Amino acid sequence: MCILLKSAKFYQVPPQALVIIMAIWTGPLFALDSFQVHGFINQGYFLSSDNNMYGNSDSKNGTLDFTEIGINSSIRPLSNLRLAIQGVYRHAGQTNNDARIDYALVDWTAIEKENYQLGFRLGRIKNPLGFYNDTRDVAFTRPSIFLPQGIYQERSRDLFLSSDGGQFYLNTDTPIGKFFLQINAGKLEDDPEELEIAILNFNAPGHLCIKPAYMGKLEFESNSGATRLAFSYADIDMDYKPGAGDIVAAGDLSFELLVFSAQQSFGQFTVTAEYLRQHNTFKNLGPRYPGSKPTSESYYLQSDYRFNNQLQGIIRYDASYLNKDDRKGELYSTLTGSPNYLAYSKDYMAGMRWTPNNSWMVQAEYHRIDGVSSLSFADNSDKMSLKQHWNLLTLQLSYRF
Amino acid sequence: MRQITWLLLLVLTPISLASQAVEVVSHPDLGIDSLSKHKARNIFSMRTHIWPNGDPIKVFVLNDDSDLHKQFSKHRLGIFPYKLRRVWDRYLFSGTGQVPTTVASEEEMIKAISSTKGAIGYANKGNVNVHIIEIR
Repeated sequence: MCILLKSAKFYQVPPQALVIIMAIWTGPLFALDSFQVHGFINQGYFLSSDNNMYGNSDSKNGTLDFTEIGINSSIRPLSNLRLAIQGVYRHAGQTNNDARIDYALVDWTAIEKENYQLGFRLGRIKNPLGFYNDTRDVAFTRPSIFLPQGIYQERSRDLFLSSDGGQFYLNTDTPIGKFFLQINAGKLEDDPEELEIAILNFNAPGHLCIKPAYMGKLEFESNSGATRLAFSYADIDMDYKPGAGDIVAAGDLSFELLVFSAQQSFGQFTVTAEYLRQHNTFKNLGPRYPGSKPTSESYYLQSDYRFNNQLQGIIRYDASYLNKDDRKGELYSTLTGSPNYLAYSKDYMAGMRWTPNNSWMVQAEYHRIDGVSSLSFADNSDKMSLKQHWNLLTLQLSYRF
Repeated sequence: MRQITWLLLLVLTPISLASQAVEVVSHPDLGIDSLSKHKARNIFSMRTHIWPNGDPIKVFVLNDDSDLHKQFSKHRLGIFPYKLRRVWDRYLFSGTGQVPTTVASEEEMIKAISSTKGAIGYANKGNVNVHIIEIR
């Protein structure tokens, strides 16, 4: 099943190819009145006191190495059939610099009644996980410049983006509110390098082969829209296939994620909280990696306030622990020889958002962070030089159409 | 005290009348005379896709910043425009739904609705060529 070369990423396509695919898709469909095209461009600026985020943010002048560009198109040729495609280019420091098909699907609403809809989506489908995962690359859907890193980790981002397979969905409208159920089954993106380094502690010559995975979300929204609650679940199993001269053995890894999400609005004031519990299992990876079953834990509490139609303020506390039984990272430090603060991160954030009109958005945020478990390895190749306490200033300009 | 109440009424009446002037309108052949606020919200949130007669629903709106859109959102649906936009964005960027077609002016709205089967949108009172749907 998993025979890809280390450097060949199945999911990635050159930007030129993406444009051609989009053009072939859209060409003949212009005539239909349900045809829609939308997109976004997003440019970030990151400046940190220490450590790198989305490029060389630790440099004197900071970095502009965070860009996201997306274009999507959809059409409804029949009343119960919809086709949709989205291409996204993302440059995030050394972590990503590529274009990919984000979703490409056929959506068939098998039953649409007054109080419920039931249907299937086939193709490449976004993975529902928490409130934000299925739109995580789109600035206008994020509450802040970057999502809380405990739950929406950069390291496992590629893995959770989308599934090549199918989705079953059921939407119901009840007297107390609406329920939305989505269940995905499919193949996830292969060879998640960041994840491999996080688990094995170095970029091993072999690679991780991911088995077809299941994930799902049940969401409730009150009739007024003021209350949203969700429960998400994912179960992902993978094998490690050793490379030449590998010190890591052909072992098994599995991840079970449970995410609880809640949001409540009180007029112009909104409180959001999400909690992730992740059960990890590592077995048979060889003598250097004794089998273990750590449980990771992350959560955040966020509140935002709308001063008026254009101006919004936000504050958040986001905490993340690789092993909930080793919150200070002492065991981690003993086992890996790396500093203990690689095993957690605690981030206090305050920010402002200005939306002068429907098309433009400007954001500014300040973070005070203790720990570095959320940082990407690609941007921070020398783990020993990472600093425990660091501050981050970030600005972002976004446009949509 | 009573004088103040009357004075307030007198002052506020023209404003409230003005805000009531926006009407939900549809293609003349749709044959629906009224909708509950709940159903209207589902339609304009892009959560309901098909009319009872089986035709696809085609939703037209003005820009979020236009006064007519704000009045419509607030007085006919009872939700803030930014909340509508949030729902649309979630559907659009996750690939799970379509968004309304945005037209540049009220004239364009009337033109689009009167010429598109299954179309719904809104307009100031007194427009011809479209059918008014009462929101209960």
